[in-house]
Amino acid sequence: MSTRFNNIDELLKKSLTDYDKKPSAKTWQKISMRLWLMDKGMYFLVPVILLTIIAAYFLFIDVDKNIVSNNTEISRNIIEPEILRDSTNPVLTDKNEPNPLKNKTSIVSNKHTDKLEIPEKETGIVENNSEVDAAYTKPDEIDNFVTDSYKDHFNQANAYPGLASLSKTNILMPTRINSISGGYSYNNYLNSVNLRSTDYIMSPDAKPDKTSKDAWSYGIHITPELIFTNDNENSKKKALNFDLTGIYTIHDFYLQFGAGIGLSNDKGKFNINYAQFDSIGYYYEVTGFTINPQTGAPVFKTELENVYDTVLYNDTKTTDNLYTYFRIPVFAGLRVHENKGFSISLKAGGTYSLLIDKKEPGTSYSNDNATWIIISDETQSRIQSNVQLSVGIGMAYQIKNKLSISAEPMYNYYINPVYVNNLSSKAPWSIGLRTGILFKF
Amino acid sequence: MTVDRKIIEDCIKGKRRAQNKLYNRYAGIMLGVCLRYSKNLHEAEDILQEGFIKVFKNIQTLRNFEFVQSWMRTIMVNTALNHLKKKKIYFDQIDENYVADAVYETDYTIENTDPKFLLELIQQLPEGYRLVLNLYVFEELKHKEIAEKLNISVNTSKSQLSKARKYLKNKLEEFNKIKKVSFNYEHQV
Repeated sequence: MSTRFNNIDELLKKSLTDYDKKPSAKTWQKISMRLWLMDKGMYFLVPVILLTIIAAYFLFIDVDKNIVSNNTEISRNIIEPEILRDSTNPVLTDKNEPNPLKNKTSIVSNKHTDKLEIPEKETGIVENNSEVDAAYTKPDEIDNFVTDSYKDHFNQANAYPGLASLSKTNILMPTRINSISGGYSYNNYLNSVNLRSTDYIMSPDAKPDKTSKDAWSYGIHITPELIFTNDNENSKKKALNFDLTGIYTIHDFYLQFGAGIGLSNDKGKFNINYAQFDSIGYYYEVTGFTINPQTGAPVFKTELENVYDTVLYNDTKTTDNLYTYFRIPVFAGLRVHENKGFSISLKAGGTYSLLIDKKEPGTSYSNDNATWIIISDETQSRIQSNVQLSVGIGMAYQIKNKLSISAEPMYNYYINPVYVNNLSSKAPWSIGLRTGILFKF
Repeated sequence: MTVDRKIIEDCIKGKRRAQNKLYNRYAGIMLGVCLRYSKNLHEAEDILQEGFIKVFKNIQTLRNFEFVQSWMRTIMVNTALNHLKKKKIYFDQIDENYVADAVYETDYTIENTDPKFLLELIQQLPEGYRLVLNLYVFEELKHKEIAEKLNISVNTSKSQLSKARKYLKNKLEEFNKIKKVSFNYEHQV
């Protein structure tokens, strides 16, 4: 004989007071982790954070230790050009005789010397040939040439991405530059190949160029985003993100760290059940009858009667909810193309989002005829935190030396579904356009 | 010295193994409490987690070790209330003057029902109904106490309870396949 209860309260009390259900294993793991953090975790986190800051300082900020601040010249060796002349050169004659030396060439190289020297044995008749002379600079102009040559080399390496790494030039710490130039001159009387080598040791006062690419820059970004979920009723959701970022560039690579706010909208769903005393049908009630005198058949007098009963109704209402997330985006990028201030890079990274606020306005329903109304909030709860993986293409244009604008189409993949109870559905994804202003100090 | 006493004393000292033992001993029952206040298992486990953190944080304040279960249960209930306070609970205030109605009549009996099924029915209730039902039936609070705790009026508390009982009774009737139909004729004169 089964137990029976006199009322609902008794049933609930007897059945559920000692109801026991084993929680999932991860519940204790979370409790244990939080207890550990409360007990000792802070003493462990503080030195970890300090170490991270110190490591970041040495890794990213303290560079160019080898640059000496003395503004003294170490040494300078110049090789002056040599012009080879054939002592039997009949150039000064008026006769246009075939040049017996037409196919003869020679290369002169001179040892390093501080002074312009022309070995006597190799000196021929010096011809005043303005075209030939124009190919060579005089001693006083060599400094400028070399410096300019160095600067050109520096700027050239910086202008084209990848060139620096290919040329294996240490742009940050230039100390020595070899410049080799040569020329071939020909006239009816003389063939010569001239080689000039300049060995110049850079002044150690090579301070890092503040406008170079290897530096910190900062950005403000806005990203409108369209999120695609597997929710059939509400598959597309919009989001808008605002980020402040710090960007550290090392040659063509860069790292972006940021923090910001993300706003995401969604639909709230309310299920409204109510009962109302309503007509469920009708019938004709016989209120009397008479006898037809002609036929003798009864004629019934009827009245229409409605049948009422409690009818259950169901309605659904939706509301507009707004969710605010705290975001920490981290990206790494590689600049693959750059030309005239316009650059393209490939970037990838992730964003950690933490739900910090939600605006979920409720709904109301009134019905004077309803005997009872139950409004159930069926809005799906969102998980507290999420991680998105992102890939994208970064496009930037340098307006001024310290100011750039950027536009970066991004694809984001959410590792976890957005909702708590959406364990069986696929994780959502989104596309967005990250636009921003980048500046340096 | 009972096992519980030893475990609790070690918990006060902060021994993780003792905390784990205490958790394993009472987590099942406490989750049962949390399930009655929440919409689903995930929410119940969140409340359970918060509740046990408070238990271990404040266990040194427990004076009488024999009442550890009821002490923990009180913490779980308060944690559930705090958790639900953060949400917007809609208290259906259709009729402020509505008092306990004829639904709570005693001219019927109810068969013993699977606790899991009853729990599901309670979880289907709107949060306001569920909250008042739990505080009245399980915590045995008076309507005045419930009204103070939830910052609502006494009539609202009574109304919520009445609606909750009605909902459950209707559902139980469906489960037991009992239907009630009533007619109200409109006579034409």
